[in-house]
Amino acid sequence: MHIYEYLFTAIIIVTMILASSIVAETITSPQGRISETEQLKVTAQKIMNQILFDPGDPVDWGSNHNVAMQQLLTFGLGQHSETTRGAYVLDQDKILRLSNETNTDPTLRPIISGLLNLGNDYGVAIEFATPLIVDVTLSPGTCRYNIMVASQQNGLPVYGATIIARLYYVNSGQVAGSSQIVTLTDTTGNCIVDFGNLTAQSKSLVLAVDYSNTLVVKVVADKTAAILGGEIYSTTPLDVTRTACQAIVTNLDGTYAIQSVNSSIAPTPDGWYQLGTPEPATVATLAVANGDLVCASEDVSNATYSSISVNFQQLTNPVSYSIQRSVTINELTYVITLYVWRMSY
Amino acid sequence: MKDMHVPIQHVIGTAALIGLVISAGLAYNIISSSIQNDIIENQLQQVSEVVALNIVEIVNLANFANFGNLTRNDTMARTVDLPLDVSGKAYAVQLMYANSQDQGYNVTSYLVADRNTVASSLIPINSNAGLVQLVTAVTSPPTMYSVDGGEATVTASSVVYGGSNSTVVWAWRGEGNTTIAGLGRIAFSG
Repeated sequence: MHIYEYLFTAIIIVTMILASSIVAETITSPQGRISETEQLKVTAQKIMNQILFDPGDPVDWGSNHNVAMQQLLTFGLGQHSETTRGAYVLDQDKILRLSNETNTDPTLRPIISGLLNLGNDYGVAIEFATPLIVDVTLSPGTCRYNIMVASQQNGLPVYGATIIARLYYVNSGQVAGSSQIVTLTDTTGNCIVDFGNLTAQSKSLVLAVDYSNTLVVKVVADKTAAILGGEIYSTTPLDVTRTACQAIVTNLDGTYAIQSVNSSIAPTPDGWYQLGTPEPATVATLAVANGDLVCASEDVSNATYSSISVNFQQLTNPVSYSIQRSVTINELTYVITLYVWRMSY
Repeated sequence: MKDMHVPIQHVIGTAALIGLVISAGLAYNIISSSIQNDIIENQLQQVSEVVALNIVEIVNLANFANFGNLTRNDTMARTVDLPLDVSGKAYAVQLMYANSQDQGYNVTSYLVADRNTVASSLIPINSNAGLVQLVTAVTSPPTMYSVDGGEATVTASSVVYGGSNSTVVWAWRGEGNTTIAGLGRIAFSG
């Protein structure tokens, strides 16, 4: 046996070992990837369950703005009640607070993911959407709105959706509401709502869109304020000598209407304004500040939360998972989407 | 001298080959052990995930139903069907609490014979001072909870072992919205 024969034998042995290792790794790695995806799926289900069914601790953390995010012991968006609870019913105050505070103060984002025990392993994002896309465009210098209604599922225009619209403005220093306009969308999903010639500086449009008993409410306002648990927070001081107006969508014998309920407002020591008689089904509260209209909308359709500051949808992540659920918020149907992804591999 | 040179070459070559074969065997053993370990950890991870999901669900179910002292001092329990073993090895599942921002409650599964082969799954509850408290330490004697008006009894335990068909997750909702939950074993009366 010559020296090269020994070398040849050694090369064959090493090659066999390497080849068998590579084959073993190749066979098991797809199983590992499937397992990782399955684990992410279970993790997403756990987080979704916690968010949907747990009211959080303290249970009134949404409506009670005196409870700081840092004081939360557990996180959940479920609506709390001492006696009865509805499945998949969320608290709009918690959603509004989560969205407003974490988007204006990104340092609060890790607090939520910390409460969910995610640490640096997982990233999460939450989005809310209405079943119908309602797009509102105002013609410049007029009170003429073009409203376009489309399906959230496929983006196709919705024909025959009933549009109920009411415009709020300031008249003689007081909140005033126009007469209600009711119309239908055409085959392109569009319709025009024209309130004539109003010279008001700031206006707020409250829309109710009814399509086959699916109701979507949208509020379009020039000047906005925050509202939590019947208390308004406005950067511009509100005129407390004037009553605030609460816009409510009612259903009488299957017909929807936008109605107004007036309420007094009083300042609180911590800089908020307490409504005298807060109505539970209010979609927008309107008040006067420096002669202009300020609108505190309770619409959560644009509410979002993400554990990271960058747009998570632009991330290219090989291992991510999303779940959607239909939920009820303030008597309206929304779709909540939870995105979960791994931050490390 | 030339005749002596050939046997030495053979001795060195043969010894090197034998060494290489032994090394290759060891290397293959290490690689296959590592792959097997990955598979076991994956299986343990799946066990942890299933147990953690069951705990989250039973806690929410108990909270949701306002179960417990409103009507009777009763406990909700759900049987968890755990595999007998993972790759032929005995394993345990433990409910743990780590007091840190990133690691609150979690379910950890590990091999009984090798505590280093371990996999954890988070429970999305970080604080043990809130309304939901999970049992992570065994008391002596262990706390027992009545199920279905006394038709069964759950013995609370922070550690359960694979293969038992009496393993349950349970939740008991007390006064003041407090919910206590954890792992345990169920025994049916009669």
